Amino acid sequence: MRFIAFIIATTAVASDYSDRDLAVLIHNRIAGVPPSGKVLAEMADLIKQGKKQEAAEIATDNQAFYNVKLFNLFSSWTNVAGSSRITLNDMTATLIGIVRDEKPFTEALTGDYLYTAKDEIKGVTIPPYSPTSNEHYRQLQRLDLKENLIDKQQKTLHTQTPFDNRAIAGILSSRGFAKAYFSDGTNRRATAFVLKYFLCHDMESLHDIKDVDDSKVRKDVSRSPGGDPQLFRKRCVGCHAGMDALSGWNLYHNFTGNQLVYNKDKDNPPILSCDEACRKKLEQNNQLTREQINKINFNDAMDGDVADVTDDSFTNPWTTGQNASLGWGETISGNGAKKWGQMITESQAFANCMATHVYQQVCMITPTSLKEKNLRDTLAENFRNLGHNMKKLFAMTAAGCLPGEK
Amino acid sequence: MTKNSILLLILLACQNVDFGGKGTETDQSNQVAANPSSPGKINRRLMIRSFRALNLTMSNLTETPLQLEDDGSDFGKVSHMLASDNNIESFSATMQVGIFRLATSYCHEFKKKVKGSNDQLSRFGLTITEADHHRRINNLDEAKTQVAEKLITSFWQNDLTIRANKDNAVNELVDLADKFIGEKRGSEDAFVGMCTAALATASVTFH
Repeated sequence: MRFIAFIIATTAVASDYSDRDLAVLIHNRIAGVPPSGKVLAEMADLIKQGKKQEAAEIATDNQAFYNVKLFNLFSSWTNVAGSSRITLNDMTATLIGIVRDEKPFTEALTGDYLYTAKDEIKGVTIPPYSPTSNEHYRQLQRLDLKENLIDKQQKTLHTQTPFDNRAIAGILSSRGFAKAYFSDGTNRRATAFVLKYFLCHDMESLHDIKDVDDSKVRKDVSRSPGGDPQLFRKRCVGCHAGMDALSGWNLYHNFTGNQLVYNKDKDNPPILSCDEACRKKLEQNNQLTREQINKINFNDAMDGDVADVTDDSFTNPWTTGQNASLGWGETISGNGAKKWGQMITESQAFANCMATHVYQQVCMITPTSLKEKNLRDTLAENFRNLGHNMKKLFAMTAAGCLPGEK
Repeated sequence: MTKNSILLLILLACQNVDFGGKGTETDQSNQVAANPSSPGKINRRLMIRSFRALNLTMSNLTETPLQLEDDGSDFGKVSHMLASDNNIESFSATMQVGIFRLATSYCHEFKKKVKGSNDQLSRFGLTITEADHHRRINNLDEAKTQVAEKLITSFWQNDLTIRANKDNAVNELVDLADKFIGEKRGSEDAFVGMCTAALATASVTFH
């Protein structure tokens, strides 16, 4: 491959691109497939008139934009491995639907709806939405997602475990998200992965040990790992001070029994994830009640010295220090997933991150040079000004990074 | 299809593009080498079609039904061999094998469709019947050239200056078809062979 790249690099010649060339390029970049002859002519005509963005908007009408481009991008957000070879689920479908309907993309983390298949699709029978199965979406992914998605109130879908309004928050209260990030563990990874995909920051890049308040670090983190308190001060606290202070929003969430469970009854806290065999064993030994453990307060490395997490409140300690550069908005504390999603989407980093994702998808490069970063920042600004319209962002980006543009 | 032939087709189709990936040091060095005289310009970057995009592209171009991953189709059998993302750096020889298998599958479907059509297809304008006619009058070369030309024009989008020289590509395709399936076989096999060669080349699988 290096050899091929070298040959091409050394034989490439400068050339101008015709309107048709640019039309094909834009269409391929947005939809992932070549245009039909009719669409090609239409787009080339618009490009000839200097209307590149309008031409790009035509490409966003193609079914492949939804079934290929957006599916690939968003499905990689729905699993810890970051793989795009994942079956459609309610999280991916909702993100695709928000783009299609040009709703503010902030609603991905705050909206009170999820997207499912239309109730009636001609000639096709799809099993109804189920909180305990993904079959509905497995069947839906065979169809044209542009035509067959519809938004439904989450209250009508979360029938088995009623949610408080403050816990209904777009994909944060979807089964797909829960399966990936609320199963087992302490639910911290839900926070970490939202920061990764919606603010484009890994926990490592947010590590900050200067002037941190460690009072929110949970009791499962030893203050003296391996007998060395310096290790906690110099390393552990850098992530945990922020992450643990931010993570209270999902205290009542769990993924168990193959479904997202929301349970805020203090006397009957969310149970530890346990598969069917495990549950059966506990039931046989009459241990189920005793084994109902609040998963977040489960590990007690510092039991007695550090208080349990008792509600779904969160605070943002990163409004000062290096992580203030994320550009937080007005919301910096609150209770529940909706408020938390609001905090994330109000930040400047959210808009920048979405612009970066789209830039990578459409221009096939991470903006690294000053010129590229300036273009990304302009796109992010326009994205905010246009009501966080993701569909328009794709079109603007495709029109902005064409080859030969100065 | 020899390795050199594949390489040649990739080279023909990839003029004026660079292999920029996702901002690594290697990408930047390629970018500078590709266009040293105008470092301020944004270069075109070559992308591989992902497994979903490739499947839909081949379905669209051959105008045959989309194959699904979980219905026992050829796409289901080869999808794991195809790229997950568009990054050129993830391209491998295994991927090319998967692309050929998928192209062959779609071209067989395509042949059935062309054969079953009484009218000339608007996209291709040439049916197997016509190719048979040419063969019967001992003019197989002309038939093959016509089929190759129609395939290239349709799959590669005619008049695109960023594409390879069409005449060279048609000649290459006819040559490949001869090597691939032999001159003595029937025109249907020739059609599938050339369709596969055209569909599996860089102009379709990369963009």
